[in-house]
Amino acid sequence: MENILIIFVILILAKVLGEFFERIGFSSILGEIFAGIILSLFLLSQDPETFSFLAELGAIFLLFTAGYKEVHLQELRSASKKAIIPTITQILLAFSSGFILGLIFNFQILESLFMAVAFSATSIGVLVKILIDYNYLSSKPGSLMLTSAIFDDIAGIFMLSIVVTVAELQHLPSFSQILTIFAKLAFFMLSMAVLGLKIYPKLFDYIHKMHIKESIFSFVIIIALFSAYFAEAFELHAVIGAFVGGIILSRIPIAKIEDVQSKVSGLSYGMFTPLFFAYIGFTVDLSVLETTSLFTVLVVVMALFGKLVGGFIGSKIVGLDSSDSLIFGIGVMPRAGIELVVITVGRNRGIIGDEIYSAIVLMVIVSIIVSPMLLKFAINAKEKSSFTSSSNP
Amino acid sequence: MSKMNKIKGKFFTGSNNSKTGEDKPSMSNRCQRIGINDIIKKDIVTLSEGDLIEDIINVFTKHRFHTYPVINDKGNLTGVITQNLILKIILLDIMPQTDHTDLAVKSLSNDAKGIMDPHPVTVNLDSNLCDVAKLMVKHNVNQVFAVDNGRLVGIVSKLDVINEISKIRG
Repeated sequence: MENILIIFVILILAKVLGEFFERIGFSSILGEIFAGIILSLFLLSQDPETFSFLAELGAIFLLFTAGYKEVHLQELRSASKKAIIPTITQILLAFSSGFILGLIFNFQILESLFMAVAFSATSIGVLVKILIDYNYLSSKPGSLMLTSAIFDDIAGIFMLSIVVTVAELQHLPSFSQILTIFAKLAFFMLSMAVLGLKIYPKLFDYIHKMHIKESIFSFVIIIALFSAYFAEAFELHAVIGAFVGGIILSRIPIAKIEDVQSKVSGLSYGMFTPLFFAYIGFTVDLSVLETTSLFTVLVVVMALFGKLVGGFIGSKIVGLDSSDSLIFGIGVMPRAGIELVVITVGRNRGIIGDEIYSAIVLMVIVSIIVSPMLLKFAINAKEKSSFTSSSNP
Repeated sequence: MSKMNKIKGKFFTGSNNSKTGEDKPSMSNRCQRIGINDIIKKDIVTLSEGDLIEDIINVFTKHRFHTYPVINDKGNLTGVITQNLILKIILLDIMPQTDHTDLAVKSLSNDAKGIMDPHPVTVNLDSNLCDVAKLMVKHNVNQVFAVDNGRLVGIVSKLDVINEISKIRG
């Protein structure tokens, strides 16, 4: 009964607070994280085992849905070439900021690597509304941001695969171990590609003929869970499998019809991902945030600046002017997805401690609040300067 | 040998569970005897892959159907655009944030090919009324598209199915 009560309370808090934050212009993820924080203040005595299991499912469904619904590589093909350089520079700078910061504060290399990967992701969804409001979605920096954010997801998953496998070794890998890691990853990808191209289409042809209720939806979920489990068999993390499984299923017409998409979305956003984000809030060590150490402040500042500067430099290289480059740099600042999965994996495996975990959660919260404000400011500044230059010939 | 249930190109087709020779003329038996050719509408309004968003909106306001098929230059069905989808694209900013990335990518394309849902529910020409009705209920769609080797031949709406069933009920 207590477990049911916990889930009931978390979901209702997450949805109510999520609604509140979305209505005042921020991501509903903030509300879900705060729901977890509130719960941790009132229900400290509860055993979070069920909660942590559901949160793990939440992380799996978060990344499965991202792969299944959001990775439109074909549609973004035209913007892809131009987005490669800014994506590399912004990831490189954010990654280096995280890694160097970790080393400066005497964290171990593995901890610093996890922090670096957590610094590298982007969640563009937080800013899309502002881009639309300002008619910037189809602008050069707008389309670059979207493409770059999707590349970020893929790069983030790839980096997570590497650091999780390295974490299993508990030490820095030798050259032969690095080769083994890449071989496992390549073999996993190859197996998934064979399943996606040869097996699943035929399987879904049969599933489609089944008489039982919700056969297609059920098999989509079964494949999501199988992909997660299959990745673990390759000593990769379950979320990596879920993400790749999502991308593969998104290419199978019968698995992607609107009705099935809507049910997958309902299960994910209506149930599991709010539990994941609430779990993040629940497990934050508030004392770390209360003291706001120099480390916490630097995590927030460096993570945001790493993206801003990296994005700015990269978009300047591909020919955007300074204002658009600034807009792009700000656009890739928000985090609200993969990095939280990264730190949860790191924490569950005992690699990162409460200090890094809580500082990164704070960084995510700050990035969700600050990025929309900065983006509005940058766009307004650009509009103002364009207006001034056009009125003073 | 039925050609049904085979994945053809980018879309999937309905199932054919026709059983012949049953003595009792049950409702399902009678509806299985009505081929899709007897009910499809062949005079349909289509969108081309290159149609721009303004053209698509004009088609919606002019013809008042719920869903339009998108065809390529060979006449093959490549996707569909529904009222829901076009509303989501136009009013992206008031949709829930969780849908923003997906819709934003679609809206960047600005033409039917980029916007469309590339997974339409289709049937082959040897399907029957029962197959069509079952597909509509199973996938919660109001119409299915009849294709012949990928080429769009016609459309059947839920209303057409109900009308036909009402006729055979007498």
